[in-house]
Amino acid sequence: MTALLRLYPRAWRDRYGDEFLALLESKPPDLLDRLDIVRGAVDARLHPQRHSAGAPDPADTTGRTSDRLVGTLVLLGAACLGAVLAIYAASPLVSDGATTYRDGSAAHPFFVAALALLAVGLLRTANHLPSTAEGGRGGAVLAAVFGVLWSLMPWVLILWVVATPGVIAVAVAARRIGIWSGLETGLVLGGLAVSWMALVIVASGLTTLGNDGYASVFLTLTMVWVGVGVGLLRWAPARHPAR
Amino acid sequence: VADIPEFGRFAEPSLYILLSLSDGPKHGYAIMTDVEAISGSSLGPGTLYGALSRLETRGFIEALAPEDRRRPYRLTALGATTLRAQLEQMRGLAQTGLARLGEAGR
Repeated sequence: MTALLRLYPRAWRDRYGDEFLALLESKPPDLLDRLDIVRGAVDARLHPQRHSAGAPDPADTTGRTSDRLVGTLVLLGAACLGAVLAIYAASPLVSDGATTYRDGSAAHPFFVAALALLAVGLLRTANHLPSTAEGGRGGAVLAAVFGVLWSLMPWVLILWVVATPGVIAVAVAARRIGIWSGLETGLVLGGLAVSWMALVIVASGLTTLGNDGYASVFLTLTMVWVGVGVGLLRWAPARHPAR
Repeated sequence: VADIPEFGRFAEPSLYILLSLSDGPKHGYAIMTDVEAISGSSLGPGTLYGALSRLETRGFIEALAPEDRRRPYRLTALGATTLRAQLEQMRGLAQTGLARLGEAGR
């Protein structure tokens, strides 16, 4: 039963854990109940409620620490993305007869790490959005899922095309409710806009940058990581009582 | 006053919970058995606590001191007003529907 309880967020467990376990002891859950509990845990993570009990929520301090940790990890993700480009640029040129390209496979683990850390940051940011901000919350899940998929298959650019509106939705929602300032929003939206514009220009053949140019446009994407990371580092529950 | 419909899939369980608490405080297990008696269908633990947390957050119910790990909840004045408004709305809907069915049957 405690395993089921662990599916719920810490703040939820702190508030309802004891009575929830007492309920499960009174009425041991059958299969349908267990599925209902899993569904409830997903809901609790997607729609955290602000508890109205008079005492301050002790989870806030823990949450603040987690925000700093996740924010730092997202900035580390930006460094991973930089490492991807550095490794790619230093990779040997390979020719298959028809085309010549760089074998950047050594950079792939860093690319996966970068996207995974961004996903964690976006989901953590969405956790601070109110339950009414469904667009932002859904966008975070969309961006996290498709972003990680893209990291596994970077040649399938459509995955990032799908993830991009999710990132935008998070940025817009976070700005709208005031947990992000213009700095974080500008970094994220600017990073996306510049990288996509550069990508379109390179892909359209208007430049002769070739593969290296195609890869370097992603450098502007690090702005997205920096925006999300800074947003979490600057987040303070006390400044945002409307959460 | 009544924003229970905003609760999404928790709207109906929340209404049953308010109804269950209308005759006095109850803890989770007592609410669950009472709702089953009222509605004829069981309320899963995850749904029960998803609805309880929403109702508590919006001030429709309040938690009392725990009794041996079980925490009773009671209806607040806002919760009672909301429940009454919901029931009045349902009564109006039922009366309208029955009247129209009666007219159609003649």
